[in-house]
Amino acid sequence: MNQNNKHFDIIVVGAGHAGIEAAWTASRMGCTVGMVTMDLDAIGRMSCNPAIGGTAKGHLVKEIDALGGVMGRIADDSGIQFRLLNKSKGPAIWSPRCQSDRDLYSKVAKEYILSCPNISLIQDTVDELVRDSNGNISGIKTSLGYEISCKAVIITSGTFLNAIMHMGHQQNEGGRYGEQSAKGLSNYLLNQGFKTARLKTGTPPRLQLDTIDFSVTSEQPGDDNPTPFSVFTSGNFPALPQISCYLTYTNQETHNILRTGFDDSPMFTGRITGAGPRYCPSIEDKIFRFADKLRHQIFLEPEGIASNVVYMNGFSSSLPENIQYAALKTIPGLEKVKMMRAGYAVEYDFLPTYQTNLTLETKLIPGLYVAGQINGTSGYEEAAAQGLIAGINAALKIKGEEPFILKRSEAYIGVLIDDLINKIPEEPYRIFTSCAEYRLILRQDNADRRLMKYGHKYGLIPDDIYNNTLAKEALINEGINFFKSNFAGPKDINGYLESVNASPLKQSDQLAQIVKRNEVKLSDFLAIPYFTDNALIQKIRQSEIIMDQIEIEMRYEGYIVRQAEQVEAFNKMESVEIPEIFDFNKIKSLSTEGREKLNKVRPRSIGQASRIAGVSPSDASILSIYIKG
Amino acid sequence: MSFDNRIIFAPATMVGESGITVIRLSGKDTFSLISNCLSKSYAEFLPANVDHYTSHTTHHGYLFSGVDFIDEVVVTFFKAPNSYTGEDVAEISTHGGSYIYRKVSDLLMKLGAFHAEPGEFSKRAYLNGKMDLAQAEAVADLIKAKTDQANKLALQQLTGKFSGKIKELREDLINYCSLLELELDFSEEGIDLVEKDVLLEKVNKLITKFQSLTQSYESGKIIKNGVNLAITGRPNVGKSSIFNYFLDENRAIVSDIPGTTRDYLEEPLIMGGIQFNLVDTAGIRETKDVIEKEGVRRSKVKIEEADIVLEVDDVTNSDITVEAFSETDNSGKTIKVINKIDLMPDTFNAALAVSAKSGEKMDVLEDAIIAKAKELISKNSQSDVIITNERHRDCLLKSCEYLVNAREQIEKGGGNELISFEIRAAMDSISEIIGKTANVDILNNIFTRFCIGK
Repeated sequence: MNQNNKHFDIIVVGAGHAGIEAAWTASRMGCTVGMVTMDLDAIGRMSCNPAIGGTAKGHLVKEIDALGGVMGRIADDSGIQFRLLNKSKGPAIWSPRCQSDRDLYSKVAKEYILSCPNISLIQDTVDELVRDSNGNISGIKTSLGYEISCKAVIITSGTFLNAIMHMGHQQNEGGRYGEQSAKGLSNYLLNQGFKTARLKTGTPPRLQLDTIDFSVTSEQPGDDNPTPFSVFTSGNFPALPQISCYLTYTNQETHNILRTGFDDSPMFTGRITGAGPRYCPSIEDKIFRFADKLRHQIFLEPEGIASNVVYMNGFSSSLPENIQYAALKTIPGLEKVKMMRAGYAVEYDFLPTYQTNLTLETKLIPGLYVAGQINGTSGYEEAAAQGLIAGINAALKIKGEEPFILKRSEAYIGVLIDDLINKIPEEPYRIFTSCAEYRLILRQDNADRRLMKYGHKYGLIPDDIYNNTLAKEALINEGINFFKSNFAGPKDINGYLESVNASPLKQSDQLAQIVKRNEVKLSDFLAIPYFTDNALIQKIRQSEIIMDQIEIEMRYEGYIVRQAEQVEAFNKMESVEIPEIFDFNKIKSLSTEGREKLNKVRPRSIGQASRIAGVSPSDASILSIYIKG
Repeated sequence: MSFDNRIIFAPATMVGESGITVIRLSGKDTFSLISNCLSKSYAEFLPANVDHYTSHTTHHGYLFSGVDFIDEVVVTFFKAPNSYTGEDVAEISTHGGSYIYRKVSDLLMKLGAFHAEPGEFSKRAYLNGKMDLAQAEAVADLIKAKTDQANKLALQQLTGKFSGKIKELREDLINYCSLLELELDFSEEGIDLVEKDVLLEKVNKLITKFQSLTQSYESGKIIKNGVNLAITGRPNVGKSSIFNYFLDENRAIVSDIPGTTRDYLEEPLIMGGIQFNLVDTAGIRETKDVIEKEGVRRSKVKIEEADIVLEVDDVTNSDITVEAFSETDNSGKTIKVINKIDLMPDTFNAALAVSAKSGEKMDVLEDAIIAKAKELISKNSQSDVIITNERHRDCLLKSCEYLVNAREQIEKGGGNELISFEIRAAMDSISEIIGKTANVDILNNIFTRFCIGK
């Protein structure tokens, strides 16, 4: 560390997916950032699955991108297989996902960080925070004995707080294979009055690629014409050669072998006390809980182009190493496989989120922000989204500006943070499309149209990119208006309708009605001679993205309108504010649990209060009547 | 203003000349208010030891306003949360009489209590979690019930049987939603997906349940509000005589001048344990009299609204035949009856022919009316729970509409996200019935419908 530079606006503790976004956004907003990590080579490390995006997670990546974050850009630069998931379902559910080259992802992430002159990387461990006489953050103390002053700290320590790795009876301290645990900071937070709780997560074995017989598995290629996550990605995409993943299945023999290890499993013997994610169970959990299922699917995912490592998706385990190995060799394709590393479970501390505000600033220590797995989430994308919000808010606070809070009706990021703060999850939280009640309008395809205004406002999105989005928005609206206010007759378009086996017109009809028809593909329809001389249509035809947007908006119109009405009702409840200093204890008629939860979370609106777990509808209406008077 | 800390009071019994009047108080400081006016002696104010009274006990004492003795009373105490409202409640039994009530009312106000708004006690009970919305509404119905059936329905709702049914339906919806969401969020993870025809069958079953429940309102409405029974026919066939006969009083003016009844008359009536709203209408005819014209118009509206129409003619009409009157259309809402058989005895033996004047065969008519009313009630009460509340019906209708949308989406292969959107909307709608969706406006609307004191 540079001895001359002992002050930063913001210290970011950790350089994982949350830390990267926090440091990036804060530095872009003009703050100096010191990024403290235990290992400079572990920046943006993918500690589990070498993949970005997926159902609902892909939405988060697109939103992070629209707000000026870097996850989408790094993923685009290091992706070796791109797919748009759920193509058979409606556009609200389509989710982009990519397979990443693990080493390259980390390398690209580091390059992005190094490209910011405002960010200084520091290899050290933060043990303590320093506070001024008002209790505000004024600096940090490190293991190496340095004291660095700052105005805000963002902790993005992932699973490293009091982390213990489990494999059979073996227990090691550490948050990731071969890496240390951060104990000092955990103890410091406890001493300051923070409450911590335990969570558990796991990771599957890593296999040696050239010992796998892929011929007996089924190949899962990527999309033929993939689209990037980021609006910043242009030119040659995808930049890297593309690979396939492979699907295989466990069988009864696999399960029998795994069962012999149950007596040694840290989960079943109670050595792991933390709650694990129910949506991402270990293989032993799956066999135990779904005993009647004869097989489970396993995705074999290469970890990179030049890598000889394969990630065994679906086989997370903390059973003894020899049992994992014996079991996985019964799986088709893996008969002769070499296991490079066994799966393991990690148990770690997190800060239950009633201690945190919607800005991700802690209630106990002003100027201290927390983001990522420390808040009980799982997943890189969830972590990155929080890092971005914490980074923006820390910078805004230093500048003395209003905080930035996304509503549930605006973004999956809003849903994520609102759920974290109000529902106070007790297992690792992962985003799903079903968490978003307004998902028909919160689509991945319109993330830029929804959110770029904020990214631009905070200086995270450059003018040229923002102007492109504005122009796109204008053209989409112009197009929709055109289809709604213009008519076509039988002779104009029946030729086309018949060519796609759609029933022909008997009399002239509104173009919008034609566009809404299921058989009609907008790009083909607009190519008919009838539109040749129409300048607007010809302009629209130049962009697939614009045609897609128009098509979605028009097909979904009825639902979008209804959803917008719901949002309006929602916003009405959100706008009924609860004063910051409101005394919930004075409302005697609240249920005991309701009052306790209201005191813990301290909601700022009636809408928020009604979503808090433990606050009954009756509590919410009492509060509402009380506030409205 | 917050309602919360106010003490409210209202008479819980009729105020007037009676044995006693019970005045109910509720609120946080109710007991200390009582201790400021309840005396152990009538000679002077000796404060009763209210703080030491246990819940659900009754105490004798003397009410004082300052040094003035007002009345000898008995007070029953209920401590929170074991009371109707969930708050501290006291019920003061005073001597009956409006003067005493006024004195006590003045005293309570002087001590800081407020007159309860209509339904405020029940509102507090709801807000304190003592009952859900549908149960609170049932309290109003129970008080208003005039027949055994209406009473039973209100009780069924009050005891939570109705709420239970709604919760059951809500659970079903939540379950279907979960199935859909599972496929949306976890299709990559090798789970077994829901078959579309299985879902369609489930949704169809649910729609049927919703429809029969909605349909039951037709019975529920009749049981709760009474059967609207309109007496119609040409002028001067004796409609008012029949009206008077059933009421057992000379309510309507009867004369042999056609057009005597110019406006309709309406009176409640209980026959065979069923409540009726008996309506005497003006005879329908062309007339130049503006007042009678308006009467005819109003009568037509009443006939339109009627559940059962008693179509009266009389024996003097030479156009009528026995056949016409024996072909009583059982599926319709009309009962045809011939009046004035006292003028031409034995003419219309086979038909429903009566004399309102002599009372001859009026018991046959009464039976016919009761039979038709019972038929109406049972026709629409196929479900085990009967809806009596219009708001509930509307919520169910809306919910059902969303389910029909959902079915349409399933049938045309629409995305799960759209099916789920409809089912969620259906869920929100029925949740409103039991108040799971907080909506203050609905609440206020409901609570103003209550009579004071409950």
